[in-house]
Amino acid sequence: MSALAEQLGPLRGTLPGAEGEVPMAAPATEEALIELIAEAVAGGLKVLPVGNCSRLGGAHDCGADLLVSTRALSGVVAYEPGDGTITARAGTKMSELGEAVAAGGHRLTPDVPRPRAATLGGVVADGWSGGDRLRFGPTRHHVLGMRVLSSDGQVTKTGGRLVKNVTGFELHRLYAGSGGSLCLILEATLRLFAAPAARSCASYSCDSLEAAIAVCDHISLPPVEPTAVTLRPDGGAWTLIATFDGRAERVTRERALVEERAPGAAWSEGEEALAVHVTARDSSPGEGETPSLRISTRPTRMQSAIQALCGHAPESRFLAHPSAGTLEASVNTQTELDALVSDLRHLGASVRVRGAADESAHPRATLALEERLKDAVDPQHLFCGRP
Amino acid sequence: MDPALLHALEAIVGPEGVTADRTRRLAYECDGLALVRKVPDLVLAPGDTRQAMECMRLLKEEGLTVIPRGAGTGLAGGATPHEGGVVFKTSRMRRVIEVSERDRFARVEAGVVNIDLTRACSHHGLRYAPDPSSQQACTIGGNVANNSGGPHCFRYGATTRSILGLTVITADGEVLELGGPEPDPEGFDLVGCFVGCEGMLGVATEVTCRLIPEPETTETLLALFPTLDGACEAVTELIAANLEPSAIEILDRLTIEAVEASVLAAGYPDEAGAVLLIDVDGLTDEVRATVRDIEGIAHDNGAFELRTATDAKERGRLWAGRKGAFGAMGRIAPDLYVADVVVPRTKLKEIVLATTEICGARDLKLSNVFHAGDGNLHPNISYDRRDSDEVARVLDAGSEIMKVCVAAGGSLSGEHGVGIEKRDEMHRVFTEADLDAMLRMRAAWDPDERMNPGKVIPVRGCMEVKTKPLPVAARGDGS
Repeated sequence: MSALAEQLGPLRGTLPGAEGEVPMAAPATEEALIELIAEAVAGGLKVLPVGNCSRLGGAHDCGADLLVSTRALSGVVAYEPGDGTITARAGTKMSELGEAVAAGGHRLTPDVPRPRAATLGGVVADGWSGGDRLRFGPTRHHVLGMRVLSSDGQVTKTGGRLVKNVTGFELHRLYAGSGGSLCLILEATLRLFAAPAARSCASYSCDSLEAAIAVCDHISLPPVEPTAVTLRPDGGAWTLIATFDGRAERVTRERALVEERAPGAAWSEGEEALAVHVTARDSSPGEGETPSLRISTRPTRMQSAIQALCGHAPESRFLAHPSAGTLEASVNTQTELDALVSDLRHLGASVRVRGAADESAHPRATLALEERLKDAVDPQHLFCGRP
Repeated sequence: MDPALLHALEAIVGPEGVTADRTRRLAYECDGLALVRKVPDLVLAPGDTRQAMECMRLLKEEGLTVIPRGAGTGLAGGATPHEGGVVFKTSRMRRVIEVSERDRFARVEAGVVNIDLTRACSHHGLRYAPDPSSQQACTIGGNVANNSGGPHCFRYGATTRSILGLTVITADGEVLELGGPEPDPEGFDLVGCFVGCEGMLGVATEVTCRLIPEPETTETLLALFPTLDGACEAVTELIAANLEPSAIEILDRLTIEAVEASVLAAGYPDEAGAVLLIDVDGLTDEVRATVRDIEGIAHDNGAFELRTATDAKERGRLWAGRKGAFGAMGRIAPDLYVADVVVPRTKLKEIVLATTEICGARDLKLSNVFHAGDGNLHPNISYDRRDSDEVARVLDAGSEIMKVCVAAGGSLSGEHGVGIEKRDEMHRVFTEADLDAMLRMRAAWDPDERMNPGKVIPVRGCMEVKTKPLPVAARGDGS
């Protein structure tokens, strides 16, 4: 490893793994990256592609010999304000993308926590959707195309830079959320949405989980369509923050409807609302808090999922998006984790575990197909992430 | 076809599920791309997932190729058995299995007709967003295979954004449950990978669809322009202004004349060179504000009249005219070649002009009706397939249009798929390595390449083959 590192420049650091420190390289050019991958294949190494490691949650502890970061491969390749798309290199920070598109009257989705740390490649590979998926859908729906590097050294493209396009198989849907297990994302194109002209946030403090879920149900009824709803435990109470944004006429009407349906909120507007929204968004468990869990279930089962979480891991930190049916959590011990995950799966939830063994994982019915896909896309089994 | 195999298949699906008679098989020799025809060896219509699985296992034993088919409304030859084989149609699988009002999804069998899904959930105040022009006939399973679009996917996205889960039968007869009502299933996004596969990865027999609430208000606008250029420029400006109506469609003069002369007459004005048909939906105040902005942009780009549908009946008539436009073209000539290309939305005007020049130079009748908001053009060429010279000019024009679009940063298909029609043009967009990656992915699902062979990916390794036009002389010779 050290010889390889010397050849390709200094390593950018290490991360602790089960077998010791895992070195991380961050090639400065695509050519260097391709060369590094070829060397890794020749050396029989296992590689985990990473971005800025802001969201690994222990994912690197997967037997990787080398972390390959795309953080140095950054920059906007093309922003087409008149077409509502942006193409950028994988290492570009989400905050940088957000700022670029704001200048053209657009908003970036996903609205992920801590965007100054997260990279486009990391977000897309992780399949990480922000709270705004409630209104706009998951990240994978907005990835229009990609350029990727395969373990055979080939750089290929899938999709394109068009908002509507069904030319060829959508391999980018397979790569998005594959967790660095199939290829290394070099570049991605996202569809953009109109920047909101107005924003309101409603903050509720509820005595019980049941009361919070009831508020959530009321404020999400049509025709109201919140952009995001977050729920987290707060001392003995529950804090629920709902964000409404868009045209001023829309936000005014939604606020009126919500005040009627679920009175008692503290409201904020404009910049103040943005601050409330960002604080709520960024209160999700952060890097280093492991083991981490990502739970996905039907919205009507979210209350049961949270009750299971609170029952098995009362000290856990979590942020739920109840109306979207997703929740992120960090728990303290493997024992808590095992019982919790088993219970959640009995509830019909899907669970992704990072930074710990997933003891209750049962072979998915699709596992054989997924293994064939892995063999087909990464025959060298170079990339060792997991979806 | 081996009589023993026929007998075994009939034992699974019943006599109503097997079409062996050649005269009846003729109905399956092509889909909406009438230029390429071949009579299938057999047509199978399983009644449910179990029957589909058992049939597929028998077909695997025999090594037969399988061509999945919904309603056969596709326009790129995706359901055409151009290499023979067994057509596997879903038309007997038409049950709506479950509608969840609170979690906003429906689980249906693949043969459910698109419009019937919205009918089945409308009493819950919900609807299914993708609305291809053929929605009165096309099936949800067919929409999944083609990742179909429609006017309202401008706001709500193509089919892939509305599919949560699938039951799929692979070429080996394996039943796979992909995804489901949970927003993020564990493992790879196999649903996203499957949607748009054009029947080459397997057959979907059941589909879990995302539903959306009916909007509080919908306004339908008709903006009349003296020229097609003006309408295109207005759309480009609407997009640049980040306005978010739910549909933006353009119809040109020839299309308007055809529609107005048909039973679908919608009241489109005959004095316009082109019209913009726009839906705006959402909260009432928001819709009014957006409509005001759109009207301003339309006026600035030369619209000489703006009409708003006064009630649901008028709105329905305006949209029925748009969605029936392809059928109305039958008044112009017996056959219609519906091109389907997509370009950046900043380049609408220049590409529409280019398509006009391409068709003019070949003495072809061109009309335009398209999803302008998505940059998805449908240059429609009316022709007579009995005239082999005209057919050759149509195909040449189609190829040239694709070339121009790709050169402008566009692509081959916005919603109809690649099928047979565009297969040999794929090299314009993708490299050998790109296509190899697609083939490798396909091999993981169907290593023997028995599912819908000969579609999407061009014959490899020979540029002469890839650039060869469709075999006109061989058409119509189904056996």
